[in-house]
Amino acid sequence: MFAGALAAQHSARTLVMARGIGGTHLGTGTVDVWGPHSPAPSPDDKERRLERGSPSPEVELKKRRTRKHPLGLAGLPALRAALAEFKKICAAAGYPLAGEIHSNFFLPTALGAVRPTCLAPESFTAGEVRQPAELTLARFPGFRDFFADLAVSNLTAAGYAARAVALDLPDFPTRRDSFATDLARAFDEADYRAQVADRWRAALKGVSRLGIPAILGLDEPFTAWRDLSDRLGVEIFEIPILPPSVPGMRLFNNLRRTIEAAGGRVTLGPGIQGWVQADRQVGVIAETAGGPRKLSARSVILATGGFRHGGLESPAKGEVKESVFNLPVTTGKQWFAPLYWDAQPYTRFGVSVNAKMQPVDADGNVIYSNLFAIGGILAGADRLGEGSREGIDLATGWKAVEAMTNAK
Amino acid sequence: MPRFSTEILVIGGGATGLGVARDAALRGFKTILVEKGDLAHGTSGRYHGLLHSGARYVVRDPQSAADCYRENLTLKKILPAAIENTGGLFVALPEDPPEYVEPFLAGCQAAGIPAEEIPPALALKEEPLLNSKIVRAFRVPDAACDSFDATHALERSIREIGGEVWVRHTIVKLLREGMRLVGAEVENVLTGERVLIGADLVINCAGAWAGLIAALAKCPVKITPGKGTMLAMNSRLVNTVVNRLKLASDGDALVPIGTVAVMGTTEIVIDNPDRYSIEDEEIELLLSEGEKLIPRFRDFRALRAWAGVRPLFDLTPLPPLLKRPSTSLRSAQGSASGEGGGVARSAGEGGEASRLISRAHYVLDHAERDGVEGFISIVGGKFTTFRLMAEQAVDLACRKLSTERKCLTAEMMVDPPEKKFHTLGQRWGEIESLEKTEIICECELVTRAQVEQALRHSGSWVLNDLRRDLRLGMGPCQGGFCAYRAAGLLHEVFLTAESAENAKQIEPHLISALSALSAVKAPPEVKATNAALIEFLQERWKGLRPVMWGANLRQLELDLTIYRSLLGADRLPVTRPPEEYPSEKTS
Repeated sequence: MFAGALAAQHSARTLVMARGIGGTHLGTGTVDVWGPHSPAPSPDDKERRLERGSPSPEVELKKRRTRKHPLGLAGLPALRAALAEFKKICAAAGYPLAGEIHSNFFLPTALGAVRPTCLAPESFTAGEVRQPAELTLARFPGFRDFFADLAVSNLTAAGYAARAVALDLPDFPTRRDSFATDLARAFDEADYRAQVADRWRAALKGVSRLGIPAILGLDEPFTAWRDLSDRLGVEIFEIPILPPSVPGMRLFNNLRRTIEAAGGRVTLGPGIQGWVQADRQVGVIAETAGGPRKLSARSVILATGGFRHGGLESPAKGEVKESVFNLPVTTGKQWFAPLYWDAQPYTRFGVSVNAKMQPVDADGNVIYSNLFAIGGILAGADRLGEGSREGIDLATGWKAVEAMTNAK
Repeated sequence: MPRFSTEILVIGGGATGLGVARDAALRGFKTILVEKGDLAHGTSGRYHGLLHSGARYVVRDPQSAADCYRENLTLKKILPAAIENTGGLFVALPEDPPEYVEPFLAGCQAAGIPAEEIPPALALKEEPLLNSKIVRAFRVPDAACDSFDATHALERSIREIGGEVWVRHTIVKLLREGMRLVGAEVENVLTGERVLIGADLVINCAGAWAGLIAALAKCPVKITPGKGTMLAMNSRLVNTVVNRLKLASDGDALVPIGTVAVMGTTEIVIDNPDRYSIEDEEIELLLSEGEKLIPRFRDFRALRAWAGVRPLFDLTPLPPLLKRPSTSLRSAQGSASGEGGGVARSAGEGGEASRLISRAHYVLDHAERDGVEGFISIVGGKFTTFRLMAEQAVDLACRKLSTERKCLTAEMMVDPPEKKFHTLGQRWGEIESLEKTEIICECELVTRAQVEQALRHSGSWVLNDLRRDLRLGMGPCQGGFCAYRAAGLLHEVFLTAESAENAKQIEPHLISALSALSAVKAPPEVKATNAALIEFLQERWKGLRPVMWGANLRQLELDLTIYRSLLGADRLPVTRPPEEYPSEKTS
């Protein structure tokens, strides 16, 4: 979506076509660039406190420049430019992101762990744990996706002042299923926020910053966040919770609107197959309701993701396949580690590309002259362990659009 | 050290141990059962769920086939809460030996097992996914039995009669006075607290671990652990237990249990019941055998794989086609009734050796055998005949305690509510009638109220116990969403400001079962909650790893994103590192 937005803004005729919505709706709604995990859960938490050293993603990446890693291939200038462009897009959509490449935020999770991230929505940043003020987390009775007490206990155990407060939600029916999105839609309404503020005010005496699950509006989240904070006189920060990810959906919506405003199109639904044309050029065949439709394009950017999104598939144990063009996939002997928490070797499997993000074969030869691959489908990264997911997505997307534009 | 006393001390909280404790308690003995893990933690909880009609054994072992059939009828009568009366089919594929049919039918007739031939077309109408090439089909009275439901029902029954069940208590030593056992020292594995239990008689029902327990009394009992691997498919592919019409072999049965279907099993002799792994070849074998019964079996999603350890009693290996094992050893009744397919399978496959060991059970009187009084072991056997095994053990106990008391378990219902035949929408219907709280586990439809109630009932910090109680985390997402919620609830119930209030609601029997509650008196820190979460996810991973392709891999990526990125669970301190969790020893 980011590459689509950039391409559309570069006045290319742009079509983003996907089988379905991507990873935004499952994620954190932040931009992780570099924030490696400590080894594994352990009883010894003394040396685990990353936030003490607060490493800079930029400095860390300079140390680790490798042509095997997508960030190394894209390069720091691309990463810097990509982050700047992404911030620009979000700011223009009225949903500003805070943060710079030379430092990470350290924000509490819904379990009370602390995770580093590079760019975060303004509505997240008051959760920065290195600020001295006590963290107060909201317990919403009857809401199954956020457990404030557990998070508070973990934050307290890690040495941060924290406590939980029960805050009930007006007109919140007891339901079998309640999702973050249900609440977010309610918080889009100014009247509802006013009711909430009246209901909560008394319980929040003496509270300086209040952490709530990330449900503060879908349509105009920045307004919703500012409005509720002002009404309560408390700095509110959102904490991402189990999918569906409201902050992720906001990013997706921003990108979609940006693409459409620049004259591009977004089509969700059709399955997509590769179509190899003459002269090692590719297009795609879309499985539409009316039958297969052949689409040729000057450039095709493959951003179908890794195993989670179907860009890579494993039809049987030990087998892997790139799902659209049947590109060669760089793999390894071992797939899985014995412990859930170990780095899983398979996460590094993927499509190998050159510095222009063109898929290459084992000898480094470009496979199709107008094809680029970006994001989760790329080989060489442990996006989870490195805390590098969105950084890779944005930097490689920016790089591919640059290469495509230069190739005109 | 606190002292307790009882007449009969039962070691082991599987089907056999619970069966013995219930039998003894019904005969009026004061009874305490101790289990080192949770109920059904060992082999009972890893069983494929097939309540045998006995038809599997009619050719090789007619006596145990008859035993099986009798117990099948008895359990259907007394334990309907755990049994889904699905019926069973034996189907012959074109490659299955046609000459097996005649001895099969003759055996069924001799053992009194009704086996009715039906036209293959009718079998296919009832089970549309079955291979359309089947040549013959016979209806038999097999059924599906949920061993978690069974053990829970037995536990409730034992408590109602006045017996006690202590989980998470391990035997530290068996107390001997001269040549007589007089009880045991046990330790609460959660708190480290130790107590003494004086007993007139100790009955060892530790299954695959029975040799280790007997060794504590210096009685040599050689158990050969036989690993059987099973594969749960994420849909109920059949509504009837489907068996292959041939000699027992790997992957010869597909059992519908609730929402899933279980393909089983393999058989491999291992050294240590606590340490084994699932091999790729076993999964491949189960998939390819599954493919023969259900075409395109591989295209259905495999949910997870697990292995149970059969407690094979290493007596004398059976020669192929031996009628039934000799029971000339000094057993309880001179003729311990046995079941089991001590059946050789085709050469060239692994596990030959263990299929040659009888599945019969034996009740060992250690006074006769080893000169140690007050000690009985039950070894071998299998789930379907657990009640019979218990009856024989307690009969022996009566003789040893010089009292005559009649066994009542064949007549007394364990729990009245009947398990309904599984239908789509049934479980939602059950949930609808409960208190309206959120669904915590969406795959298996478990509500917040159920989780809270189960936590208070068990007083346990182990999320896996919730899984055994409620099926939490057993669906396709394998804990992806519910693990966080369950950890949150665990924390709220035990460790928050209101925990004192919560502790009051914990069931009184736990107080009588003593130290299970002491953990509540001194609440552990948040590290314990973290460890519970991480251990639960690791346990799910163990079963997923062997079936990690296709949709499961996709799911794994989502779950890892949630726990490692979104929640940062791997950044949290825990009470002990994951590789030290007890469940980990088996990977």
